[in-house]
Amino acid sequence: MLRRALRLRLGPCLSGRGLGTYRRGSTLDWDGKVSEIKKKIQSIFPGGAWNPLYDTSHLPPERSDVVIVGGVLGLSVAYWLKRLEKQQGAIRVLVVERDHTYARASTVLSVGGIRQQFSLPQNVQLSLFSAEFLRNINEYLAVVDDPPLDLQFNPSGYLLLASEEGAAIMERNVKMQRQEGAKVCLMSPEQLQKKFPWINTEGVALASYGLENEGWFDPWCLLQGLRRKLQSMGVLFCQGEVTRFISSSSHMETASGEQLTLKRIHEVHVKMDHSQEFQPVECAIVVNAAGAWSGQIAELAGVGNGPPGTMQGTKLPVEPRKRYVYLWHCPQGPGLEAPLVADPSGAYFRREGLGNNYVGSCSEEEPDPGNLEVDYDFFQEKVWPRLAQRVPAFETLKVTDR
Amino acid sequence: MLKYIIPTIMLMPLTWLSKNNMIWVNSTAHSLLISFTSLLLMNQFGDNSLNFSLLFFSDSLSTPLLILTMWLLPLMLMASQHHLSKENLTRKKLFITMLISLQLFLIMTFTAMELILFYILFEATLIPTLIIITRWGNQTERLNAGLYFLFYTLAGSLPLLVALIYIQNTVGSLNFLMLQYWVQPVHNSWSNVFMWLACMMAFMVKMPLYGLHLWLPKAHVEAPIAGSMVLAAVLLKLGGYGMLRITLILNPMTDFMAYPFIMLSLWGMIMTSSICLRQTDLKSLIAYSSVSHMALVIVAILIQTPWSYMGATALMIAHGLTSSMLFCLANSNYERIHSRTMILARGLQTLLPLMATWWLLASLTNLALPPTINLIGELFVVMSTFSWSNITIILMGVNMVITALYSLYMLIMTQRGKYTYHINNISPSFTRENALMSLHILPLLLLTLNPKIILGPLY
Repeated sequence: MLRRALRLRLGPCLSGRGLGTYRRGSTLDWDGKVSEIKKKIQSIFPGGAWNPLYDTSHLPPERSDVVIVGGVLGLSVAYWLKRLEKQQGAIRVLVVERDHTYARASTVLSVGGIRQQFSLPQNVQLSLFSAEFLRNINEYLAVVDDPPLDLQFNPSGYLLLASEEGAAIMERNVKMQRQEGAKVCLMSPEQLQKKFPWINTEGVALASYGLENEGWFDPWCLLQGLRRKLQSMGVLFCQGEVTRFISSSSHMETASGEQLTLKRIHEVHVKMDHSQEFQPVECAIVVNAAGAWSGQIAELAGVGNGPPGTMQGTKLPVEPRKRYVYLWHCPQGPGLEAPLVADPSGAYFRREGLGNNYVGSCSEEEPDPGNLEVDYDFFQEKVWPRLAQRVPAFETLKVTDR
Repeated sequence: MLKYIIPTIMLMPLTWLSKNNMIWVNSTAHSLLISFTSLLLMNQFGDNSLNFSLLFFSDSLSTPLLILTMWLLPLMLMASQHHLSKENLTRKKLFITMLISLQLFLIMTFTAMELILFYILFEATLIPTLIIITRWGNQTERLNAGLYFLFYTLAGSLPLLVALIYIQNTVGSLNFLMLQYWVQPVHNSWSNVFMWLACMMAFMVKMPLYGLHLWLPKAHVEAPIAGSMVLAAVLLKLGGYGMLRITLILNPMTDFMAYPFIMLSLWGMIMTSSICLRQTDLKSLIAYSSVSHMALVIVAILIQTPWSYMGATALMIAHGLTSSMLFCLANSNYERIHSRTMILARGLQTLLPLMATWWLLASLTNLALPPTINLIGELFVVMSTFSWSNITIILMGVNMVITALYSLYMLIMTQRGKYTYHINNISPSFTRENALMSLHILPLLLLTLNPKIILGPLY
């Protein structure tokens, strides 16, 4: 009682430690109190559905110009949209992503390689541009006051091995790649043995080795860099799942008199995780960049509803496919100059880090894409023999847990 | 006056008691008929006013504004049909009731004889407008927009109440007719300075003056189409009308008190025109264009010459029709593309050629092409400001150039060029939309033939 009286009297003039309880006023948990008061008021009044002070910060905005569904490619689309707009804030972009931790996205679970050795010229051009983007990523994705990105780009190149049957195709492809501007060289088995002594060149007729702009990098870092930059450019992010597209259709007639019904999406329903709540977002354009699940999104939009065999009846031919990737340790392995080696039998591997670890798999079988379980027996039966045949040092490898 | 007020009030039971599929037809048709009766007001005799009663009168200043207001109601109803089609019936009727009550207050405001009655109705128009903006607006920012709109205009007009009561106590009456004859010169003293400011600020905020214009882009952009139309066409003119009336009793203080506001307006019209060039949002562009045109009106009213008054009134009517038409055009775009960004909908001329005609006419009248009444208004204002001070012609000239620039920018951006690939399946123009545009542009073009009816009391 005396202390209380002391406090009351000395309160205004003392700033001392004895009044520590008053200092705690700044951590009063205001939000919690406010929501409690709201709940009390609500319980007094007869329940109504109208709740104007409801917190909607987790919902996407009611209106946006472009809604992008998807992972790293979606972020890239958003980046270029914002980058190329004539004025800041001209286009409002909303990126909808089902999982903000990207735990199950293709991006972060991938091997993270980049190569120019494709068979389509368009792929080669895209890849060359991407390589230049990745090299200059700190100029493209620079954010004020944030540390620069370190993609850990290892430009070790890709080494594709071809057997007798594939040699002619490989030669043709390399010629096309060189025309597009990629720096690829063809090697015979002798040259291969001289350059990479740890390879067993049995069964290899030709090899193509990318000299520049090829290798692997950390895709998670790219993802985070893109997200950071987009947030600074004013793109809105929302964690939710697209459940519905509302579209308006109109009947039109083509020049040849054929009747068509053209649909136009004007609203997207985004559902929040673990709840039934959804927000209709009115939009002008929807970009479907959902990667492996873009087939499902296209189905929501009505692509593929039509008589089978016609263009209206064809679904978007994208399906999720699962591949296993394994990480192992091998002290006698190929070493620092090892590129990403792809065997004609389908197995591939690359170096991971500096501690004699390797990442690789076999791209042949297609396990069930429903879950993300890894089958280690597959490694024992299918992958290891092929790896061991190509690189004898891999006989003594040891798989570490993924 | 009752011949306008009673039918307008009765429009409300008409909407509530009509059959469900007839509410739009009934309300539009009847409001159109009522708007035709407003033409009777044109029969003014002499150069005095037409007095209906102790409360209401109309003279050649309020007549064109009144006709504009009443003409706009059927147009607003036609424009709102599409975006309200998904609401339930009660909401639709409520919306129409808001529009009708706004119309009622506006009719009474423009014809009020007693200045306190004018003030009460001036404030009363805020309420339906606020409800329209915040309830039926499009985006979450509409709450912010409504707040800005309400508090800017309210804060500006509260001193007006004080000033009006003071004038009532000193002069004896606020009846407009008697005020004209009992007005005494207002001498320069501090209290008179504040009284001048109090009288004018309400209308300055409403016009809006350049420094107090922040509410306008927000309110115009976030309002639904009917809200934008009535805001741009009529509510801004309330400010102009009020200024024209109140400057009568504020002489000769206006001669020197007006300087800062004239400077702000002259500078502001160039600034807002330049901002228009950098806008990506279509409605925002039209909103800033409104600020720019109204700045001309403010300058004209404050320099108080007969030519400038004529220019101000002509400009008010011309701008009302033009701005309203531009908002309707922007809305027709929005209903198809669901976005107001200009670059998302380009090259519409190839897809909707008739709508392109309306776009062309609206843009041409916006940039004051001769011989439209827009040009007559601007020209009178330019001439009178030139005689007031020679240098203003440079500013006015720059403004006219920039106005032409952004009007053509808007036209070319939305109409010309290759259309964006994703708008190849937009629905063609509805007859309702074409009728809406033609009903806007027809009075504008016809007035070119007889502009003396909108030139106000000093003609």
